[in-house]
Amino acid sequence: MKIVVAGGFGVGKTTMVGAISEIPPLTTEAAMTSLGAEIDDRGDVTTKTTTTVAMDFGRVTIDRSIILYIFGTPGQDRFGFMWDDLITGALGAIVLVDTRRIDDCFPAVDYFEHRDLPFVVAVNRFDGRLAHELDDIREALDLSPEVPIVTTDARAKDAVKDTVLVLLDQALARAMVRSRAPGR
Amino acid sequence: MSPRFRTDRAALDGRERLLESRSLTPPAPPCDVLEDDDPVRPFFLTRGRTRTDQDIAFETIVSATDAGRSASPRLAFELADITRLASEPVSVAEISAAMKIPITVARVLCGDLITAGYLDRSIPLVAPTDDVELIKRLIDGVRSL
Repeated sequence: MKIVVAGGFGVGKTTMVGAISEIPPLTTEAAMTSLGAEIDDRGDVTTKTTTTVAMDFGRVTIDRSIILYIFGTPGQDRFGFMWDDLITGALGAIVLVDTRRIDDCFPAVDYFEHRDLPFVVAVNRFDGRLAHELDDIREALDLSPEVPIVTTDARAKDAVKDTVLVLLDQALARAMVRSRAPGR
Repeated sequence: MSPRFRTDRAALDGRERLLESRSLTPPAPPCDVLEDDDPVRPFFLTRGRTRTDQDIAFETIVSATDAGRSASPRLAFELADITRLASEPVSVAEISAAMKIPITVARVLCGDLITAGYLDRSIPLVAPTDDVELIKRLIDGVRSL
């Protein structure tokens, strides 16, 4: 089973993964192939590119048959096939937000909304302070009411655990609705 | 397109082809753009394949079968490495990290090994997202961390 931690560069995703993982976060890279003409960050037009994106992940063994993997991955504009692979079978996602750079998480929020994946917005408290109120952040992100928004501390296991539990409650609610749905 | 190439084609195919070739848009770069200096393309190991027929996710746990263990010495380096790593159950993601190969490549190689009967998927492919009991157990487990 897996969950995904998304967010802008340097927001603390790897820290968050490490806070709850039973192993030091491992790094893998994902080769992403994007087909079709596009203009990349350098302004060059390319028809096919292969880029690599670093991805950190951790692991939590719950029991003999359940292992939870937590993938931390950059919330960048270029969501390739890798992202679709990543969320296939995922229980949900945590979008980690740095209030000094709220717009960094827009692409991730957009992506999860369109993929109909349960997600939680977790505002990382740097130095224990919060630069904006949660309601303001909710408004800035134009979050729908059912998306929870919480504060967290990516360095602290208990805070991360609480955030994961908020997400898992969302995932559970969805599973219960689906299991009650006719024809399933 | 190099001028030399255009001339060759014109010589072969005559004036019409020459006119046509002039209207062609510049061709795509001859190779993929790699953003780092890695001289080996990510999907070299998979002979260019980026997908696998096997239904495996990054977190899927695989383990070597008896056939895989005995075939290991005869397999190509990477495949042998994977069957060795999978002597204990291990996820595709962890294989990728241990071998320093992209996770998407690791998945294709694991798919090949499953097809060949050298790897097993340890965890049955239920849809975990719809499994209420499984999620409840997960929640209890995370709570007691």
